[in-house]
Amino acid sequence: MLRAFAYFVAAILLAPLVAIMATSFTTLSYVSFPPVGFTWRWYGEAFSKWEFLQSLI
Amino acid sequence: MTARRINWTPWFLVGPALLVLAIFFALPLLTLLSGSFERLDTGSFVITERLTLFNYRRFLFDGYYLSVLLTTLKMALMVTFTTLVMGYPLAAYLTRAGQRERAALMLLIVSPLLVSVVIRSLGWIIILGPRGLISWVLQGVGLASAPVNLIYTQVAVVIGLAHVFSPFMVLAIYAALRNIDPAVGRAAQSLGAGPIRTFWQVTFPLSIPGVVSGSLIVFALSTSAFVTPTLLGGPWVKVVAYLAWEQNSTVLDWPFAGAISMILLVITVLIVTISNRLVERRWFAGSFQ
Repeated sequence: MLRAFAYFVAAILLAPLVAIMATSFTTLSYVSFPPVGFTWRWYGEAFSKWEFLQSLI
Repeated sequence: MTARRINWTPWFLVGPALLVLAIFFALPLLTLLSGSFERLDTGSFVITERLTLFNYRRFLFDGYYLSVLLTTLKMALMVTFTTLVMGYPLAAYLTRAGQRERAALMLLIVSPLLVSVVIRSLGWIIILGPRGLISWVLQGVGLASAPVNLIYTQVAVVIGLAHVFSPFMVLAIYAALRNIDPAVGRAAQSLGAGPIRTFWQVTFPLSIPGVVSGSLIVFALSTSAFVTPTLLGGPWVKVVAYLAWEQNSTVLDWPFAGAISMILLVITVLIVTISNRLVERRWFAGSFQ
């Protein structure tokens, strides 16, 4: 039981990161859970934006 | 009589660190303190008084500012309690886990500190928002008929702060639990105590130093948190750090911002010191004899 609770807490700690990763592939143009579909579109858009690349570097 | 010779070696060793602290910590704080006693006329931006308690009176006799202060302290207390209740079992499990499992869990535990505050908060917005995970689950189960929005509430701020400060709590408790001699627990069990009694009468009291230091760190960090409450609390949940920032950057009333900062600092230090003293007296009075 202690083990189950420990992993439950660890899962909560990881939840925001997982949520971001999951929604980054959504085909919708707004943030919604559960994510719908699968696309690399947003990654393409991010890397084609000059401001993003500029601030990344 | 021989003159007492001063041993300069420790001073040479501690000197550089002392100098850095004096310049980058003590000096700005003293500037802030002396500035907080000035009175600025915000219409003409002229300092009208050099030594006055005007800014302190303005904060402490105003219902709005006091309610913000109360909200800040209340949320800090809730964050401390949440991290303690969630973190203690996790820390307890860490002491029993194998080496590789412990290493993996350690990485998970410190993961909130490895991620930028903006990304962390966006993640919570996805989970807590009206189109988020919690809203979806509640509607799916039938507990809610319309989208549930938790963003821009005190609950969201408490969750966000508890998330990022939990490593301090877990690691402090884990350090305390690890230092307990396993023979003590075995001795209690050999004398007839069950696992629950062993925990409450032996293990938990011995881990109190970790609980206290973890709680004090989390509480102090929560009272002064600024970015997470701003992102997750939005315009509806204001904290004292936000007030200070607002006065500093928008209103440009630096003396009042200084006074707000000093009030928050003094209250936090007082609460931390008093609770530390109380706990020490309650739990450690004559226990190390």
